[in-house]
Amino acid sequence: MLREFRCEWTRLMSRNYILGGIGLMAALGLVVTFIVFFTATADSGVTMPGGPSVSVSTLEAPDGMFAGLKLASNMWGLVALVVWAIFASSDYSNGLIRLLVQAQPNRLRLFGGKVVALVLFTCVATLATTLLVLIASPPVAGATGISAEAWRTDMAQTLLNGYLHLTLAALMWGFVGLFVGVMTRSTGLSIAVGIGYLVVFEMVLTLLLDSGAKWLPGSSFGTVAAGGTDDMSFATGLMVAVGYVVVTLVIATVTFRRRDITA
Amino acid sequence: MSVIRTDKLSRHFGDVIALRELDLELTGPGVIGLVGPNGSGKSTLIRLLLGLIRPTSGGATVFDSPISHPGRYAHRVGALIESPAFVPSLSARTNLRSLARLRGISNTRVDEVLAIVGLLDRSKEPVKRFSLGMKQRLGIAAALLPDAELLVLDEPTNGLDPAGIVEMRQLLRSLGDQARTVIVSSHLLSEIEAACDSLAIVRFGQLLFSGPLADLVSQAGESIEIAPEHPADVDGLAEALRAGGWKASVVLDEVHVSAPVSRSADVNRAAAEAGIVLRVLRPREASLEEVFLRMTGTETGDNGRPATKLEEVA
Repeated sequence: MLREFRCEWTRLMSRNYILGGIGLMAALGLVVTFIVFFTATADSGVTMPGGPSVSVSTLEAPDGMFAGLKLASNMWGLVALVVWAIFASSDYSNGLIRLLVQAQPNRLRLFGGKVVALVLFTCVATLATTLLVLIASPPVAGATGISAEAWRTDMAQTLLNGYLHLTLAALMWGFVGLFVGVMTRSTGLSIAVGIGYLVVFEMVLTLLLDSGAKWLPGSSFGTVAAGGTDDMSFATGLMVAVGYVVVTLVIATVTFRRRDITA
Repeated sequence: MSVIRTDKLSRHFGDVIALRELDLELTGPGVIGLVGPNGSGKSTLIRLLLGLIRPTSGGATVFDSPISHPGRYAHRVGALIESPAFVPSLSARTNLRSLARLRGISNTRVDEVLAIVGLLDRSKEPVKRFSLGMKQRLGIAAALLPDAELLVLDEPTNGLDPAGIVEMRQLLRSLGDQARTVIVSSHLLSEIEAACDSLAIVRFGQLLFSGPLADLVSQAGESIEIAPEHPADVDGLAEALRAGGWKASVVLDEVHVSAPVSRSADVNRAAAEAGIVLRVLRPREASLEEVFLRMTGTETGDNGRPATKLEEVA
């Protein structure tokens, strides 16, 4: 599968994907971090629908520097979803899929190479974001009068956990993007479906379902990103999220393997 | 050597029949034209052979391997399928390198094929800046990457200027002369005639002809071209010949008579008996275009047929 991976990686390393994927994810992470630090108060601060609020005490906790990323993990994951969806669907919209399948008729290997390349790309994007937040957070905390004392407690473990949780969540959103991209075969449509689901459909469902909303894809991915919430433990959230990923991945793989290429 | 063999190969898209029990054998090496009106099934046949779609019924082999296992022959085949497809924001070289990596081909070969199609100097430019002709050349370069024994090129002269068309014709000929089999699907019959050794004609998903070009043209039968001394007599001349039992048709200021050249004197005598002196009398060989149009029953090359329904076949 190395050949397939290298082929996909070459295209992922274009300026468009680096700026639009890694760059946008890192920038979004930084912006959200700045916002929560500058708006947090003793009692509360920035909140996302259905999510916790970020107070000063949250930011002063050992994993406080990741509070912004965790809070906006779904929005951040949406960028991953869009990148994966664009990468999967553009092969169809620009007709490149014809050349790829003709050169490698084993479509499972081709699909595997694409998935591995996207996973690595997302890991790099999350790493870049984590490093930027790590570098930017202490001076921002200092400027906003928030104590960063606790951050030094078991810092390596906190960083590793934060990175793993965020990466897992981003990957899960990415797999949903891959599913949407393969099924729609249209870049515009896949973005619209992805954003429409997160911004409209899941929010409406969250309001309707109340406590049952925690089982929805976005909520479970958010639980993974946060390392667990009051409503759901990390392990339960991970199992639910992996369930969604497995279902979407199986459908996308079977579709990719069996569908006629008429693009 | 049999390169491609199909056995009652059919492909339906819903109730539309794109290929109908096609039996075809193409042998190489050489340049083979695949021609037919738009919607005749050429692209469907190419996609089936390359493993992009699956047949509804029947089968086919490429290099004696079934098309159900395209992986067995993919490394021996290079293809340009319909319009060239690349990532617009990437350079020509990066696009080709991506494909080369998929095939396990070195970067040296990328530069070689870029040089062959005359794009080496512009290989660092993003493909979005390329003209249609340049993209077409890049598509050919991608097909040449694996140094394949079989090249399948769908409309390779699309978008090329006249000089580019001549170059492409020479390239096709040289590839055919290098013990390769080159299958060229085109609607430009003049190009097929100039570049190909043999051809296959399909219409409504069925084979109309397969064999050497000379055989096809000879199937059209001999004819004699005559012209009266005075152009005004052309209709009268045709009428007089028809009255004498000849098959004659007026083409501009000439009359084409379907008859063997050995009967030229009889044609001349019939004209004289009608009181018309001939200014021109010569044997005439039908062009590929005429033969094609006669066989496919179209005048535009686009058969414009409605979708062939299954119920019409039943």
